[in-house]
Amino acid sequence: MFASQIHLKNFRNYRETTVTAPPGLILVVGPNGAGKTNLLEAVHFLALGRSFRTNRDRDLVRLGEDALSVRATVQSACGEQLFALDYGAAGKVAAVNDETIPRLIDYVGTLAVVAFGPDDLALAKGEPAVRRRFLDVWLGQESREYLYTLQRYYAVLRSRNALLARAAPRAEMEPYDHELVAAGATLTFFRAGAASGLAAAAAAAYGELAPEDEDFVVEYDPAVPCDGDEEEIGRAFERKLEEGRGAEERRRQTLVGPHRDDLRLAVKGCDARRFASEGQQRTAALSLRVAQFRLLKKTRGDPPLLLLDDVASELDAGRQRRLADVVAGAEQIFFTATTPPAGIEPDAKIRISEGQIEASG
Amino acid sequence: MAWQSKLIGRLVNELTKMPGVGRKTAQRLTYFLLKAPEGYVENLARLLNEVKQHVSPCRECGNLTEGEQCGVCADDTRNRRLICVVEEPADLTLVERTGEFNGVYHVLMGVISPLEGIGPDQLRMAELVNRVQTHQAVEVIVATDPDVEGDTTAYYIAKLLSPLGVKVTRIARGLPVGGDLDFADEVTLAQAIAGRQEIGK
Repeated sequence: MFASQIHLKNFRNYRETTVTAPPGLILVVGPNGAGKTNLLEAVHFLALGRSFRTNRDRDLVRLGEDALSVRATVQSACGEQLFALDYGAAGKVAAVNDETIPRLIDYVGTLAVVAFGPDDLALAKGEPAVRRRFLDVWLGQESREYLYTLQRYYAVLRSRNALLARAAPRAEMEPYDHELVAAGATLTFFRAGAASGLAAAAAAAYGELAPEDEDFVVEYDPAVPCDGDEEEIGRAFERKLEEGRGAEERRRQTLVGPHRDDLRLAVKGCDARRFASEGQQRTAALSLRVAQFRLLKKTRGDPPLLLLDDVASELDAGRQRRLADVVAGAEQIFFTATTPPAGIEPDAKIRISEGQIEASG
Repeated sequence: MAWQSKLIGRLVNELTKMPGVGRKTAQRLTYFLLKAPEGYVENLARLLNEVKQHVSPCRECGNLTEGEQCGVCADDTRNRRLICVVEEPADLTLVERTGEFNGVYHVLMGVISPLEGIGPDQLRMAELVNRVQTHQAVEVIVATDPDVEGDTTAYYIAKLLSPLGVKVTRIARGLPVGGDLDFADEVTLAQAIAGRQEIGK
């Protein structure tokens, strides 16, 4: 699929602007601070209802305004569709072909997107939360059931933590243990099932990006043992909760569950987080994104939109070229850069200065 | 704001305290009341007072009523051994409108919500246990909303009542009647499939 037209209103530094774009590789150029990343962020926000930079939606609204709107005309095998996401006093309101979707969760991920950014290094270097977010953004686009379960799990978790904080009696905790286990087992089962596909795709991508003969291993590191079916995982989760009850009561928060999951990354058999060079970490992070893109393309039958934000500047010319080959399966790529990257021939250029699209096409 | 009448400002302010009423709606309501025909406001004020004075929870089920007992509880033909638990009086009205239910109700006056600091003690749980015992109920149907709060409250009730030997059931979830499969969200559809029923039996 590709976005043939994108319309922004009061998004970050854009007052109101329309971008037309062909399929293919679109180079977004302009000086620092002009709004290149903001354009990609708007597409990400439209697709997933959230930014790739911040959790505060308020920050996305242009200074002095109180509502924003992002719209895009998308061409795919299903024909032309109009996606719209508004954010303002009424929260986020989404519409497809002018029909409002009453609950945001029924809309999120209808349009698939994969974003590569300069902060991706944290996938290999950072805290487990970064890798969990990677899993959630990926799997939430693979399956809506995953998204619902994730939302439910965190809703239960917040309530359960509130009960632990005020040392609520067992009888009050019990329903929350039950719901936490039910949603948590589904999430763990889902992540475990998806992990082998991720491992294979990420290892393949690493091999293509790095000419050196290094192996890259991705393993799911669940907080609850993930052997067996959902029911067995549920029973293991129950046992873990039981064992940790004393510690939970002392620390007054939920200490075990998929909110403590991680992915273990290893380059040449060593923990990538601690022992890999920055170049290896960057390639590892890039490989996870490429894997996400290819797996989504496969399950959804249509390549997601690709957003590459200032990725090239971190890579040497060889890796830049290989990245271009690797993502050649995309139908449309938005690629920001302060200087045009070597060896990459764009199909179109969008020039931006101070929140204005100067030229596109 | 010297240009605005102080009284109008006060009324708008009071109205915004009502659920679902923002500043704009409050202003619209205020101007509506000011322009309303003779007697309308007096009648409304009197009605509000009467409602506040005479309407109170039914001593049996918690439904709102003008007497001591609500219409459902006063009805001798209703099956007192079948109790439907709902969150609010408004939910009772919804179930009652179906005409499918011949038991009695129990209004919790909310759901358990740790984030809002609402525990079982703030709800009518003890009264429920009491009624199940005195009427020797055979079944309690929990009809709270199918969300996290509604589901955990249902689970709490099931555990609470299990020593009493009463059957505790939860209303089914599934597809709206006359709806299209196209319009069902995936989770509702999955649950409808899991809860499928044999035809012709």
